[in-house]
Amino acid sequence: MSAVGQPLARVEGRLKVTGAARYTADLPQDDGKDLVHAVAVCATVAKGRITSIDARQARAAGGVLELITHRNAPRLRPVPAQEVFGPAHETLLVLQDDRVHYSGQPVAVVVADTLENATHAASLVRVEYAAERPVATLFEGIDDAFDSPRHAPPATVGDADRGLAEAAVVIDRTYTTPAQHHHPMETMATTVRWTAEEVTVHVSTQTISMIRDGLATTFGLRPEQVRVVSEFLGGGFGGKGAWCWPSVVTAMAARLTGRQVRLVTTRRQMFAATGQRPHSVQRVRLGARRDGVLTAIAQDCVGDTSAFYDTPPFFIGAATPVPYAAPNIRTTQRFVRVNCQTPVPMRSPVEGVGLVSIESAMDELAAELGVDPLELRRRNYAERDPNSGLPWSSNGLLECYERGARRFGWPERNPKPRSMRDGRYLVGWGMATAVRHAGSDPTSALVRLGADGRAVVQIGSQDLGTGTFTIMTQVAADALGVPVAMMRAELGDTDLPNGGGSFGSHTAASVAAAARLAGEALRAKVIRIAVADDGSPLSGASPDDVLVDDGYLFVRGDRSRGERYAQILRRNRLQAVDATGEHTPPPREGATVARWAFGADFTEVKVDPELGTVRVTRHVKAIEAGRIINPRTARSQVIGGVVMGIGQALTEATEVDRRDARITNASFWGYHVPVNADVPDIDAIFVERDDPHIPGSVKGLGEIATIGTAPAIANAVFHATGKRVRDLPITPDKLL
Amino acid sequence: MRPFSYTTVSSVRSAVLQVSPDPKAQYVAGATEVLNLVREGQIAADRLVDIRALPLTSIRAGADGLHIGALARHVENHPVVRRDYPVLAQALLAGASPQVRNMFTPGGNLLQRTRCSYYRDVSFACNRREPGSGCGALEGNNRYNAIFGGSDHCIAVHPSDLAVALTALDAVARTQGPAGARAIPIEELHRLPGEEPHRETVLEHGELITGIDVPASRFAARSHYLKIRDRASFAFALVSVAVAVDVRRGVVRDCRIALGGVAPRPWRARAAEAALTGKPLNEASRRAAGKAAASGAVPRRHNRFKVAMVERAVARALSEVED
Amino acid sequence: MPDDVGSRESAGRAAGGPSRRQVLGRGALLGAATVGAGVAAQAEAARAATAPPVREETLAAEPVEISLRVNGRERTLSVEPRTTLLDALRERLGLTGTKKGCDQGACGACTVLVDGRRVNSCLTLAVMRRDAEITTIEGLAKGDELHPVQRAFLECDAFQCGYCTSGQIMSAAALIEEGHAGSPGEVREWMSGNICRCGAYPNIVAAVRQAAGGGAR
Repeated sequence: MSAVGQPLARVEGRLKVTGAARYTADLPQDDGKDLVHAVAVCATVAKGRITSIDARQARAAGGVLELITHRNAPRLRPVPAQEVFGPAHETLLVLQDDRVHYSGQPVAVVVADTLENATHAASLVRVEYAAERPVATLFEGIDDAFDSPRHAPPATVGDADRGLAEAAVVIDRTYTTPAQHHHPMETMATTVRWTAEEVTVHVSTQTISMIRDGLATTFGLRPEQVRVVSEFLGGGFGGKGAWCWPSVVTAMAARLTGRQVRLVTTRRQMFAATGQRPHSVQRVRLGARRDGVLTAIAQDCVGDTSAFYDTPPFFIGAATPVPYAAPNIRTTQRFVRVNCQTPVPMRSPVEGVGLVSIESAMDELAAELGVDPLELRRRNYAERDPNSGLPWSSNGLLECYERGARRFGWPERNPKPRSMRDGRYLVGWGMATAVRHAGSDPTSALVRLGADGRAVVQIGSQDLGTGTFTIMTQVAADALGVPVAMMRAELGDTDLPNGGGSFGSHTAASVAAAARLAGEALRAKVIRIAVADDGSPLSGASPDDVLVDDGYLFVRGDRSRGERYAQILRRNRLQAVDATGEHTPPPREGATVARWAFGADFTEVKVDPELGTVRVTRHVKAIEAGRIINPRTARSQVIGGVVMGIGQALTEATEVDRRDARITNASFWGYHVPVNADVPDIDAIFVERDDPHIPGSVKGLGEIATIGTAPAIANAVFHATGKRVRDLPITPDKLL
Repeated sequence: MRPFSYTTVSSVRSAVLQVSPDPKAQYVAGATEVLNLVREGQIAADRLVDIRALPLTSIRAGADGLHIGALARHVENHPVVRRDYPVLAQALLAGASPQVRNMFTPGGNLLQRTRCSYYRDVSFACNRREPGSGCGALEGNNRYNAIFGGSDHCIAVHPSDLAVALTALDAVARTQGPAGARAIPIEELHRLPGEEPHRETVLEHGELITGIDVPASRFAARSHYLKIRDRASFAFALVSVAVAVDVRRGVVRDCRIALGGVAPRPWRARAAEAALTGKPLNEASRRAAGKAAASGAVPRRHNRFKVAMVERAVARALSEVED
Repeated sequence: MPDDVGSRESAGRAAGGPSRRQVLGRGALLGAATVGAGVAAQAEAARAATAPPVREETLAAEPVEISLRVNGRERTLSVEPRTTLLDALRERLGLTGTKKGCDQGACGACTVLVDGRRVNSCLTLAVMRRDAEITTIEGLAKGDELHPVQRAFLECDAFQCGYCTSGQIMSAAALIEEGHAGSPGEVREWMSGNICRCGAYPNIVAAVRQAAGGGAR
């Protein structure tokens, strides 16, 4: 039986429910005697110069081994932007000079014998600044917004202005989305041991290879000298995907002290350690005929980027020309330099931000025209990718609409706002479309089979909790032809074959493709050994005629003529046999098809009209992401994505004081991620498609799981209340 | 966290003797607040004095009312509290996570410090934490801050739900200090900031809350606590309301209305009580009481919504105690 | 005489370690003696959660050897008075299943049981728990046999990254004992002290209901 497609329980599940899974800050377990603790001191101004650092009290405190500032820190080499993802140039700033570019920037690191001593000594470091007036938010700097054609080339189809002029109806609205933080439950943890020969780094990261390459470059080492390990990762959501300072300063501390050093950022420091979803303002104009067919989409975005990073991180409007078949589309983005940490992707840097406005505007257009919001979207279904003009590699969007709507009961919706009630509550139903580019990264895998018949699949990838361990096991087991119980997965170590970063919804597609190739190569290799082995029942058979089932190899048509993997290896005195697989993604240039995942969100909210509180009471999400490797872990991933969308819509915003550019809710009690009581039952539907243009038909789920949820909720709030909130999150004050 | 010594005591007298003469000593019981404050630097304690062994854990219910020891556990589970003082049980349940509720003590809950952003991050200016340093909230992110009782030096909000319910029940804190015992109405336990926001309560250093007395009343049994927050659970109040009414023959004879999340201390809405007293409890009187409750508010840039929220929350809470 | 209660408490413990009585400065007070309305359960709750020290003593602001009873074993370790129970478990005893998510009592990742009740181990000091029975995620299973809540979490896929899971499971185990698993809505409210950023909440609710014998939904 094929393991792919089965709801296999997480293979690492038992380790996680018994507390035995070792996350970065849980290491080392074997010899921790050498371990010492580092704590960062972070800037309390957002712009300026350090004028003095008084460390006398800190040094006098017990147990302090080292205190690193820009005056004594090792000099770092710049990391070219193409080498790492994220603010590469930040390497120049980590304790290299007296400049401060954002609040929360590390200005000193204390190393001490115990965590208590390090934490206390760090609190005693007195830093004085010559503060300058920062650009606190997008709004303060909007007059200086600039274009960056290299990173945000305006996306253009037809002539949007003409399309708007020809429209019978034009919706012209401006939406704002706040800065938000990923807040994985595990903060950034790093442990570094630095010896003469090599540097070993345990780190919470979505991309071990990038940390290896970045550290090697910045410290002038060869990549082979740096080993990076990240086996169990306490979530990421994009926040652990970028190059950022914690691993750099921990490596500095390890080098200077000669000790194994651990640094775990505090929850407060997480607000500036790894970047955030950018703050944005999005003006959307939709032009349509009376029947709702779009004549034009124009989206003009402004997003923030940091003051110290030349390269704006990404283009939030890039996917706007994808969901709907408008003949005229234009989307642009300008950037504002703000004294904040550099924005990084957060569960879709593009669609998760840029489609909030489009999907809200579509709802406004539907209301304006008196067309059902779902019907409006159907009428504008794109038969081809409007952006590239290419045919879809596969597209299940219409079926997502249909099955999602049926499960939700959408046809029962009374189109009139404020028309549906449940006791004192106003009931609202809203929906939205989700799209997400489907891609993969170059990935290598190794599968090794032992003489005991057990096998291991190795990829230097990461498991953020999404199920990478499990799907690697399933795919490799199928490819080799053994039961999943005989296959083990290893990941999270740069000593393993290169696995790329776990972001961009690429991981499942990448590791599945590589694992399959490696498993199939190994199967072929053992078959060749067997057919050439006089002692084997398979001797002399054509390799093409040898089938494998459940670890048993046999000749097509004669199941009695065969033997098990283990027998072949043992007879040939082989301890183990292995084979590798290399996945190379199809080049984006010269593509003949457009590869996207699709989805539709349907949601119900109940609003207390007097008090302004909103609760999501039911949510259905239908997704077409090709073939689902594991419906159990996939369902959990989609549910989790919807939960994050609930936070995006209703509770989450990083609040900045507009006078000094400092975050004022930098805690878990001040920044509200959803709690259990905020979350209803969530229904995930998978519309499966074979996609001949994508290996394994795997399109990825990580981001499509969240995209669409926030605008669907905002639309439902409008339907419930008749009030359109264009400024997320929709907190009670905005509905009073 | 700064180093501190740790002392256990077994009598109230001994506790007061330990803490009173030592300005760097601090009581600890539930520890849910003190540890955060010492860790983050709001309290510079060199010594924590653990009072959990003191005989202050009782809950006594009688004809004269309710006595709650300062260290009593799970007051919300007490059958008399649930039946005769529902506002109290509801405020306790809304007050914190189940884990924190397993740890905190009533006395400590009353003395928790503000959750004002500018107080809780020691790198911000805050007159309450550091006299004369300024108030970051006045012109800053003051969405959570006070619309009543603030001053030009501080607009912090007291975060205790329990204190709001106790205020609506005319409760009194019993204390023991170096100068002896006294009784302080809960409403008056916290000072309004005025020009000295750093003087947060009327307690002397070392003065220990030993218990809380809730007098018997005709309104306690018909009471309700409503808390509005930014998520469904486990968050501090934007606005909360404790109401208690004595309705006889269709007319409100007496009532108490106290607000949380709006002032540096639990805020008695006396104008609302006056507006409601003598009236039948109906939609019109509820709305009038809500209006009265919000009168005199001094909102700031980001918390203007609290005025309307108070009006509606008071009306809603009263609707919950209507027949 | 309240001292009797203290003696009973001590008598229930395994032998070993210095006698608590030797450091008693004065007669111990438990203080749970007067409980209104004759509610025995209330008294029991009060006693368990308060876990009062039974001696009058001062520990200086420096490392001190203490013993903690964790997962049924008496463990000796060196802490300072300022060492939280969380850091003691993780950094001193190597019990790293308990996680630090915020160190402010605002996320629940550090939830452990103290005398059977769930608490945030980041909000209590190790020295305050010398008389308590501490249970961590490592102590929940009976050998190879998982606790019903652990089994249900596996069966309902009630986690992704697993970082909050220890806290969720400890919280859920206590919740069931408290009798708060009566409906999905009740479970949601009483599990709201445990944040899960992967968003496994619906599966967590299902797991808690299943472990409590209330059905998956």
